[in-house]
Amino acid sequence: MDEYILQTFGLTKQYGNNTAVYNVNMKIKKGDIYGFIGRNGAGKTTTIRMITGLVTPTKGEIELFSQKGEKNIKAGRPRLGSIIEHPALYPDFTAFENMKLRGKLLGIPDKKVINSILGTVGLSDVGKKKVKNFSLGMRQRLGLALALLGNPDFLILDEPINGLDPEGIVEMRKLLKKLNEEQGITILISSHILGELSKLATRYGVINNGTLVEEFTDKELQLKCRKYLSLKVSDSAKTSFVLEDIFKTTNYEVLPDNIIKVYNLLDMSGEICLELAKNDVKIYSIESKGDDLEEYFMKLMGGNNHA
Amino acid sequence: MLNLLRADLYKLRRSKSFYICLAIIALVVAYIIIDFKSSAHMKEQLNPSTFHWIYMLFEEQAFLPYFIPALQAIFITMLITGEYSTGTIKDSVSLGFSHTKVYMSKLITVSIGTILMLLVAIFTTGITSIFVFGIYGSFSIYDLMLLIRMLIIQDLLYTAHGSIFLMIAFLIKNIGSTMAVSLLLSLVIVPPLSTLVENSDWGRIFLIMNFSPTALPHPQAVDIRVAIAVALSYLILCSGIGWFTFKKQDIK
Repeated sequence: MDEYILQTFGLTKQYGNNTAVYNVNMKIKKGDIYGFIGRNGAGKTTTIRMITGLVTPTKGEIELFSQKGEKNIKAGRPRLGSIIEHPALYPDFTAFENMKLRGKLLGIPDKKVINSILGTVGLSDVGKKKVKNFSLGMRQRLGLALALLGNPDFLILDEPINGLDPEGIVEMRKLLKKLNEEQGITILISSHILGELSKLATRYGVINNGTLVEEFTDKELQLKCRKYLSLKVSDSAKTSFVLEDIFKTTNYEVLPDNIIKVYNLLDMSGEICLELAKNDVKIYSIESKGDDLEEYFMKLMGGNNHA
Repeated sequence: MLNLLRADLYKLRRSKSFYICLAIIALVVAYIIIDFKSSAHMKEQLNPSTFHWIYMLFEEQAFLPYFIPALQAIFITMLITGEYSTGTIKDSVSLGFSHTKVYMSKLITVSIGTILMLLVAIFTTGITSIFVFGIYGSFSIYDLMLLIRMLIIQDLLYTAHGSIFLMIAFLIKNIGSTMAVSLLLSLVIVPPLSTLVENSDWGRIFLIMNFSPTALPHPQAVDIRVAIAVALSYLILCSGIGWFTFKKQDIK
C-alpha cells in the first residue's frame, strides 16, 4: 500500500465571496518530489498556507503523515520544513543567529548541526554578515537551511527558485534532488517556472483558479506529451500491415475515421508515404504532432492568456 | 512552550530597540537623581536612606508611570509587529505551536522585559544616588523584602500595561500604526482621562492611578488589593482579546 505523506480532502478557502481554493484533493506519496504548478494567483500559496497551518480552511480536511485532526496534525508539524513565499528571516541577525533561533524553537542546541546545514547550502563562510545585507539567492539558501533544520521528512517550498541566478537554480535543483534521493525527504515545490520544475518533479499537481485540475506522475506526463505522426489514410487495416510488416513496429494506435498515431518513426514520414502508396493506400494527411511540456501545462492552466 | 519562550527571550536579548530603551531609562533616571543634587543638604528630609530614593522615583506619578509605558510601547511594537513585517511570525505556527502558546510566550517575554526595565531603573537610581549623596541611613533584609514586594506589584501593573500594547500589536500588525496608536494611548489619551477622574473612586480603574499608591515601603493593604485586581483585569481582558484575534487570524 502506498504511504501518503499528505492528503487533502475537499480543501476549500473562501475570503468573503471570493473562493481562493476550491475542493482540492491532493495526494503526495512518500519520496515524491511534487511539482505544484499554477500561474500567479491560482491558489498555490493559499493551499500551502492551509497545509502548514497558517490559514484555517473554510471546508475540507488535511491528513499529514497519516494523521488527521488538528491535535495530531500539530504534533506532526515539526517534521515539516517550509519556505512560504519568501524565507522568513530576521534581517538584523546573522545566518548563524537565524539558525540558532530556529534551533531553540525546535529544541536543537547543537551548533555542529547548524554549521553542517549552513555548509550544505553553501553559507558556511558568511561569518558575521547580517541577513539584511544578503543577496536574494543567499536568503533563499538560508531559508532552505532553516527548513532543513530539525531533519524534516517533508519539505514544502513555495517558489524557492525565485530570484536565483541560473547558477543558483542549478545548485538548488541538485541540492533538492540530493536531499530527496539520499535522505528520502519528500518535497512539495511550487513554481510557475515549468521547465525547471519538469527537471525535478516526479509527480505533478496543476492548479487553476483555485481548483486542482489534474495530478499525474512524470511518466504519465511523458506519455501525454510524447510526439507522434498522425496519419489519415483510406485503409487503416492495410496501413497497419505496412507498419508491422515493413517497418517492424507495433508502437502505433488506430483511431476511428482511419486515423493512425505512430509513436516512433518520427523522422521516416517520407518512407512511410512511399510504402503506403506502393500498397494502394491513399494518404489524406500526415503530420508530426504532440505537445511539449510547456504547451501541455498551459492548456491545463487555462491557455496562454495568463502565462 | 519552553522552546518558544527560549526563542522569544533570545529575540529580546538580541533586540537593539530593547537595549536602547534600557539605556534611555538609565540615562533619564540618572539625570533626575543628579538634578536633586541641589537639595543635597536636605537629603535626609527627602528620603530617610539611600534606599528610599528608589521609592521616590517609582512614587512620582508624573515620571515612571508615563515614561516606562512609552518605552514598553516601543519595544513591544518592535518585537511583535516586527515579526509580522519579516514574516517570522509564521515560524512558530508552521512548526505546530498553538496560537495560545505563542501568545502566552510573547506575554511572558513582555513581562520579563518589563522586569528588566524596572531593575535597570532601580539599579541606576541606587548607584547614582550613592555617587551623588553617598551611602546613608539604614538598610536591612526586611527593607530588601519590601522592595521586592514593590517590584512584583509594579511589574504586574506594568505587565498589564504591556498587555494592552501586545493586544494592539496583534490587532494592527503594522509597525508604524501600532507604534502610533500605542504612544497616542499612553501619552495623549490616558493621562488627561485619568486626571479627570483622579479624585473619584472610579479613578483607580485606570492602571496609571495604581502605580503611586503601591510604590511605597508600606502601602495600604486595600491599595495592594485594588492594584492587583485592576492589573489582573486588564491582563485577562487584553490578553483574551489579543489571543482571540491571533487565533482567528490568517497568517500571511
